[in-house]
Amino acid sequence: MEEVKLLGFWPSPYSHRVIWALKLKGVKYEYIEQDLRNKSDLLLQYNPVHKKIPVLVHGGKPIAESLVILEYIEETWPQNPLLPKDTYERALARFWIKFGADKGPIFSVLFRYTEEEQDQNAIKEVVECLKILEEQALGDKRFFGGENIGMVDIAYGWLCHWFKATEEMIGVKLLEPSTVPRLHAWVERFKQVPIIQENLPDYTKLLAHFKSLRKKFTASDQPSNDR
Amino acid sequence: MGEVKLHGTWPSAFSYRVIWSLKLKGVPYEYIEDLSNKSSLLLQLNPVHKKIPVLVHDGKPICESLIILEYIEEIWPHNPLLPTDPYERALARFWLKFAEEKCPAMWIAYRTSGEEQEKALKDTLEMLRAIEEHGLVGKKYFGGEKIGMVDIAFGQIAQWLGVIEEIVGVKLLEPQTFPRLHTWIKNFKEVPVIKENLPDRDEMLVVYKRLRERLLTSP
Repeated sequence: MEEVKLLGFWPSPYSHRVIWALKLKGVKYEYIEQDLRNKSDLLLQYNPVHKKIPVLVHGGKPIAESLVILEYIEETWPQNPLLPKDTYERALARFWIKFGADKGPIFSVLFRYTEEEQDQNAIKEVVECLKILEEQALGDKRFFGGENIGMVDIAYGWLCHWFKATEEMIGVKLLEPSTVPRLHAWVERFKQVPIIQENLPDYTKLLAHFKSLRKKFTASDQPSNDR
Repeated sequence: MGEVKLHGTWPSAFSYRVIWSLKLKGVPYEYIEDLSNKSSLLLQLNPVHKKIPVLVHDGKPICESLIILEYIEEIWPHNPLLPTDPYERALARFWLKFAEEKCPAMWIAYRTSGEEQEKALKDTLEMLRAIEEHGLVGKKYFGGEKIGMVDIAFGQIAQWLGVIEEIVGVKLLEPQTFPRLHTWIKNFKEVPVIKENLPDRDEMLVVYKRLRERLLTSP
């Protein structure tokens, strides 16, 4: 079995997607923490196009982009499958993963403003997004993947600690039992899955990190996807 | 094999991605032009985004052009559009994601004016540079010796970008600055399936010019 390395960043939800997938499939890997304020030559060599984490390196060959890495992991280590067997169901799973990726900017906007500055339209968009997820993607299932977690659950894993920290930081609660009860229940259920529970960043540290990130944003008005 | 229908709109680049894939694999299908742009059938088939293209296979709808391409690849594996090696597939998917994230810039440049357009033009240039520097080195097509899914995904650069450049009056893809991309465009448009299935440039100019005027004057 060839060596597997993961270049990551501890507060990054994208890093965590890869960690969860590797651990769910029992793949041994070496984790290498990256300092994104001072990018290593290794990172620049492995991801010259975007210069971002996560990067998975398998047998010396680098793969960038968390969702691309997840598909690679699924194909290379097919045990404990994270995508459905049926081709149509796979297309649906990929549709919902893409939905989350496309709506990313809506959630990023929320991150950058304080409660007073919040654009009510931005909040409405986020709530609408959460409702679509609940009604059409999750429905009455235990997980997006059905009885067990799958790639879609992993893709939306940022809705736990990361979205919660965003809500706390900006002082607006959006993912609540009163607004999206089934999605809220999913968050709680997802966090209880042993592999997930054992591989979440420390919440207090994450919140502090987000707060310092936001100071940087409001200072320079420079968007960053490094987190 | 079940019935295949494609709901599309002329001259959408995203519609063409699906047309090219189906034709490259010799899959017979019925094409349905979505005339009213938000027909009730479309709303039923794609309730989340209400957009074309939508592929309907055996009565089941699949939305989002790149997801449709992955579906087509799995259901009709002959004449593969993705490499068989998992690492090469990952590299292909990296560029598919890149196309998904970066190509919208050229459309933003088309739809806007002023500062917003300036930024979009800059982003488009950056995208072209990344492809030139990292995507095509030593390859005839993104797919290697034959065209593949990544070539299809970047197809909008081969025909639609030129139309956008002419309408907004800015030349971005200069042959001297982007020799690899320039050669790729020529090669891509010579592939028989592509050559026989490209929207007419002059007709596109008329449609896109008119649409741009509407977009810029509407509130």
